Amino acid sequence: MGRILQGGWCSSVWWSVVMLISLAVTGCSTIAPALTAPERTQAIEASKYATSLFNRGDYAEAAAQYKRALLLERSIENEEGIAVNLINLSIVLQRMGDNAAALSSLAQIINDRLLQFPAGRVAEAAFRTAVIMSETGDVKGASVALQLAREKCPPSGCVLAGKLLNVQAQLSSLDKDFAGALTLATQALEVNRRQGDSAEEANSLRLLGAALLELGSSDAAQKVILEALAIDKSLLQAHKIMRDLSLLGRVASSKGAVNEAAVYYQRAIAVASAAGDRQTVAHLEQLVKGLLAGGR
Amino acid sequence: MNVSTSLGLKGAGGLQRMLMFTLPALVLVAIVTVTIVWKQELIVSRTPIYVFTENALGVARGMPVKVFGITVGAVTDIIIIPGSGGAKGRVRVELEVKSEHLQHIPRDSRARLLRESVVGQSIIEILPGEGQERPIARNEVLAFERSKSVGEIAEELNHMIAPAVLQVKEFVETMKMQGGEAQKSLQHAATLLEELPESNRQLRKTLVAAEKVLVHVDGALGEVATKAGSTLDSVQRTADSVQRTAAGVETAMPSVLGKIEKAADSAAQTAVSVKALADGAATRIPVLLDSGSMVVRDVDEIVEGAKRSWPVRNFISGPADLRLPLDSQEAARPIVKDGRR
Repeated sequence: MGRILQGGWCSSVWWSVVMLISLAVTGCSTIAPALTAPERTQAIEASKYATSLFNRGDYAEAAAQYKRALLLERSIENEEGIAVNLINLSIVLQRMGDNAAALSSLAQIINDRLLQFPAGRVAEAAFRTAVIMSETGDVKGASVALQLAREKCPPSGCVLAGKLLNVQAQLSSLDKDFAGALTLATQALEVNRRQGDSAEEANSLRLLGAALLELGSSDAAQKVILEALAIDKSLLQAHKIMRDLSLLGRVASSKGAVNEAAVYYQRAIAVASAAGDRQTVAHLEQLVKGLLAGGR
Repeated sequence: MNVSTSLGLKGAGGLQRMLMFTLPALVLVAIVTVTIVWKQELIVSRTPIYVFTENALGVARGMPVKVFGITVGAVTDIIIIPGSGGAKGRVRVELEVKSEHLQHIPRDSRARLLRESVVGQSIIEILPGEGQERPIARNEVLAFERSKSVGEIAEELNHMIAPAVLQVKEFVETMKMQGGEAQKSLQHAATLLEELPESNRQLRKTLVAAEKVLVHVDGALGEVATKAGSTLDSVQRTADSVQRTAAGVETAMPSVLGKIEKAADSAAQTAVSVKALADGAATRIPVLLDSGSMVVRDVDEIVEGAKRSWPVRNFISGPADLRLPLDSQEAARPIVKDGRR
């Protein structure tokens, strides 16, 4: 009886001690959240506010807020925060049409010799540089930036892989190398589908459609562009929808389906008009006029 | 069967093992206890002193006691001292003051109940005396007074304004009274003004006659007479204008005076309403504000503490991704040229 009692008491004490030690070890070994400096908190708030302004289309104020966040991040030398805000700022400035300022913002990451920016952020900055340069038609500059982006992107599991292929396909298209563009867009489509990046998948499809159109495969082009349109509509991307519609108008026009082309162009005009893009509206209206005049 | 044997405590060795188990826990408990006692200032030396007051309105336990604006203690007890031998009962308020601050409170200091701002927290402020007396000691009594509340100030203001408002009202009544001195004076003035043009006309006739008689007088005198005539015309026009103005004033005066009286009445009513409002607000708003801010502060601290404590912190996600989505076809605006970018 005494032995049983003795054994029970000891084992319960030992179990309690073991439980307490386990609990203490688990609690102590969990890393406490890092301290947040007031500047970092303010920077995060400014950045979040800027993003909400960006989503509302208030680009000027969004740029001001990203600049504020950038200064705050610089005050605590937070490389990650500095890079994120510079890249965000470049997107806003590009939307505002100030490509020079956008490139200058990105150059602060790419050319910096004092701070140690994470390689992933440098790759993103180089990728953004390539996008802006391809928009301005600077194929050579964009190719150099694209090469840097590839070098900095981690070889295993580069999240930018599909995006980089899309830009490269775009550059081939600008170089009139439509066969090359077709190959690259096909590769990009595969990668983007694998990565589950719908927006980039639609971009790949659009590039594929444009290349197919240039190579004379109108039906195939129409099929992939309609796919792109469906994705863009699901993602509520007004500007992309407009591009898809006008590209479909061009495909229909190439097939001689004047009325069908006019319908696509009219739809694109309606979207551009609602988005407040007067320049595109004027351009598309000219196209429709020319189309109908030719048809008569 | 021996109990110690049954529990496995065989002699000194068993006791030693038990101490090895329990000693760390006891040391931990002792450290925590000492920390709590130190943090809560439970072993800070405090000295009770007292104030007596007619009533304990506005005084509450825990209310801070300040000297030179620094909190040196708190109200710890409020009890009623029953009256005896014809003396009225009174309230005794116990203030516990940190002993280190007693040197700043001479015996002739006064305690005063006041509010830190119009809607701020109530405190007891000790106004140090001349400093020539020795510092106050344990269980000694300070003189007590209350500062004026917002309601009392409003009441005083009302008392000061009331006679002036009354005088204005009396003045207005006098002005309005039909057949009163003011009305008579105005009427006399009007009569005088009415008669002035006629006098002027008669004077002019006389002058014209005089001019005829003195026609032979030299040109200089004739010119003077002409100038006098023109001056008199001007005087007549002025008199007419004054008469019209006086008539206008006489017509408008009762209405204006009526408005002034109404305004005075309205001002008096407003003062009464403000006083009532201030009385109500002075009682409720500070309590509400104090409670509200304390609750918010407490909740903030609790939430912050909970967020930092294990294991809650493991379930709280880190800051959101602040990056804008990267798009390989980002553009300033849709550049659509025949469907191509």
